[in-house]
Amino acid sequence: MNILQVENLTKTYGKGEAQVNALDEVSFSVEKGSFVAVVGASGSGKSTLLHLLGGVDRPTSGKVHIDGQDIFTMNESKLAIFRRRNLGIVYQFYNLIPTLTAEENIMLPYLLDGRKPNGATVNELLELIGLTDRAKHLPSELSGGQQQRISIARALINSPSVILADEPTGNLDSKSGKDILELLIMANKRYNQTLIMITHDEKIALQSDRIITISDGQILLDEEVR
Amino acid sequence: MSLSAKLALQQLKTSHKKTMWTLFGIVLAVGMLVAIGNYGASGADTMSSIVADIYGEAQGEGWAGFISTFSVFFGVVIAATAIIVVSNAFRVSAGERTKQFGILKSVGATKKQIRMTVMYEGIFLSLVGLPLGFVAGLVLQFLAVLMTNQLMNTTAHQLSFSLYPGLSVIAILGSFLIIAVSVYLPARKAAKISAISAIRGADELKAKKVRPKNPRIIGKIFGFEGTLAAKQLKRSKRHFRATVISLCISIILILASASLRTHMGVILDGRTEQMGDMSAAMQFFTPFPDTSEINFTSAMDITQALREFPDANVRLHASSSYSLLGYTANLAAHGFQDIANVIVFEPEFHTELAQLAGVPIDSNIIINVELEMDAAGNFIQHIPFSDRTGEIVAVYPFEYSLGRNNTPAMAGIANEPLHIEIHGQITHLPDNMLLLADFTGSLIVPDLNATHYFWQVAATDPLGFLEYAESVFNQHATLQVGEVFVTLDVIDELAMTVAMIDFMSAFTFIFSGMIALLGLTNVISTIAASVQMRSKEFAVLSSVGMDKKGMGRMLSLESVLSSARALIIGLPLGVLIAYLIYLGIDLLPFAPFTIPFNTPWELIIACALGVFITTFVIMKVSAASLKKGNIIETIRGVE
Ligand SMILES: Nc1ncnc2c1ncn2[C@@H]1O[C@H](COP(=O)(O)OP(=O)(O)OP(=O)(O)O)[C@@H](O)[C@H]1O
Ligand SMILES: [Mg+2]
Repeated sequence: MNILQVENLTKTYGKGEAQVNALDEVSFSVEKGSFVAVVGASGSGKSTLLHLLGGVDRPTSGKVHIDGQDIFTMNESKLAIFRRRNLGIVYQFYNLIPTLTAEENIMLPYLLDGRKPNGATVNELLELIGLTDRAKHLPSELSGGQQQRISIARALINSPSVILADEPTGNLDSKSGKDILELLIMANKRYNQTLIMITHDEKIALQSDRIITISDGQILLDEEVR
Repeated sequence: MSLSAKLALQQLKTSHKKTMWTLFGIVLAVGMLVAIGNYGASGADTMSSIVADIYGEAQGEGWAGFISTFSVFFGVVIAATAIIVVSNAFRVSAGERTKQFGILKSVGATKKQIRMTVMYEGIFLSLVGLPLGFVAGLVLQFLAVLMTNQLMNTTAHQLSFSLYPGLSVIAILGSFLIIAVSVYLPARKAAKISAISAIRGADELKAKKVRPKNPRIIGKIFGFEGTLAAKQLKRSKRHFRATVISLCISIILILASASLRTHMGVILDGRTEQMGDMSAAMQFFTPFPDTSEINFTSAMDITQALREFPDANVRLHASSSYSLLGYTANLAAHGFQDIANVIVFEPEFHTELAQLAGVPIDSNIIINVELEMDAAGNFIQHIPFSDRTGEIVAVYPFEYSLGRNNTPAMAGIANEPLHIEIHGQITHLPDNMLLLADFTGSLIVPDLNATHYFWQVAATDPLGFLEYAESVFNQHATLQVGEVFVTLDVIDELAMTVAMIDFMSAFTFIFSGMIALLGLTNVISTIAASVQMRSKEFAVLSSVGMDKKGMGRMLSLESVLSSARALIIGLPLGVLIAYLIYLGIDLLPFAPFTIPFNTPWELIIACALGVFITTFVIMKVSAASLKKGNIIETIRGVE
């Protein structure tokens, strides 16, 4: 079953001579529960693609179906609520709200819904990321790797069908990077959550099920791993 | 508590310093509106009752209306400043969190939730600010009343502290509306930014693109720090706009109120000097056409009777209902434009004037003297037009109707002119004539069927004299329809005018001071916020080797450049408005002489210094707090 389906996705910036085709008629689909790595040179359009998949940006043309729903036909608040309940997004930096504690940052999708997740789930996640003793700390009191683990816990809390990660380990040392990666892969395997991750690291890409290589806004290669 | 409310609360807590200043601004704005409502109303009551005692109810109500209008005008200025200042505070606060909103959006926050995050900040601040503001309003009103009574320095008329519940409620509701508008605008804007541009920090990117026009010149003068300062100012122009506007408003109001006070003060001094020992006055107007029992002969009889009152010195002059329109047309060619009167004095005085002019006793004499007060407060006499001796002028009788409070106002001109030959002129007024009204361009004739009789009196007991005068007048004439007899306690009248002017200028002065204070809260929070937001930039600069001295120089330059803008706009506008107020005062009919414009150099310098010093001090303080943290902390804190 395809959890994600992308049809002729195009995004252009600017006009005339300054026009940039960040994404050019990209089509592909992703099976539920798979781990897809997106690689490519800097400026090739990876982040643009991820933003569109997450419904954070709107395409110039083309469609994205998640779980059978055409996300760009939804109005803005519908899309926001959809994102809140079905997607988890992790960026390279600045993922956390500085005024909320670690715990609250994890619960954010629930808090936005005006609900409270059950305490056990939060504790379980905190334990999973190894930050039980830092639950009440503010982001500024945590290390970069710890902050990133918090943002991954947040991406997991609503058991989203799709996790989108843009170089989540990009600015971490190799040990922390490995921890983060393990977390994401674990979620992918244990909870059968679909994981789409942008990375520059070949070793990481090789741990995925499938590698999509982007070049100049187009899919250059799309290959199964192993 | 909803997440939006919680986020708002956290934001308020986290940037508590800025929150305190925003709250202070709100409290001050609410307080000012409450204070001006109550102060204006009690001022209107007090002043109108003072006026009503002397001039009657109608005039009193007129003044009450004037003061109310004045208060409403000030209320509107305060409200506008408050909106600018308060909404700027929220705009800065929302702008700081653009990225945060981006994250919230990508986690699935709706537009409404983002908007409410900002709105709740306003709601929380209102919950605290409105009651505090009301209390502050009472304190401000109390202080304003105290200060006004100090400034008025007349024991006879005191402003009282009274509370008008209706007005207070209106002021509070108005303040709530102001805060609501001030918060809604930035809240809507924050919600509008698309998730992607919020995440990418598109606003910042856009701002960085701006290239100031002349950084090179500034760079040459002030070095690299100057270039950076100029660039930063361009970038944060919007943040400083509120500061510039509020500083301008207070500069303008301060200069305007000073102009009002100085020039009215000069006129009052001159008038006090002119009146000399005069303590009471009486006027009598006949109707038109004249059916009056009074003529100049009976007026002289009244004068004789008045002089029987002990310790009273009585002077009479009477004018006709003729205007020198024909003559005025002639004078206009010589640059003289006043409509002058035909006047008759008592024979002895006329003789004196004739001798002064060097003409026979029965001559018609024109007064060719204009009074001007110089900067030192002395009267200068000068000759406004050329000698018209020998000319025959046509004067036209004019009708007047009785206006408010029975004061006559010119209503029209009757046809048949009177032809009068000018025999001589007076180019220097004798001292005892300085004390009379504005006679410039008047034609003094030996005999006239006058319609307006005017007695000036110097009496040790003016009130007793006025009572006596009324009985004398009733013995000599029975008032007919259209005839008016007005008595004035001149001392009281003068005191009232002084009180009124003192009140108006105290009013303006106190509230412009408060507006300046409101602007200052904005200066502080804007500069503090901008320093905070740029801590990363500072950290980068110092990591590439800019030393603390250089950073200090950059900040000082920024403060100097930003206050310079407020001064460049505010000072000329302020002086212009001060000049317009001077023109208005100089043209007032009640000043029988012209006065020079007093350029408020001291105030201009004081405003400039004040603005420079405050921005400079605030910058220094904010920069000092910045320097305490080390580079890494600063970078991490912003991330
Ligand atoms: N807002 C924008 N305006 C104009 N051009 C843009 C904008 N956003 C992205 N681009 C351009 O689109 C192209 C793709 O950008 P994108 O951020 O997707 O690259 P990327 O593959 O994520 O690169 P990196 O590996 O460096 O993060 C780039 O050429 C970039 O310059
Ligand atoms: Mg990228």
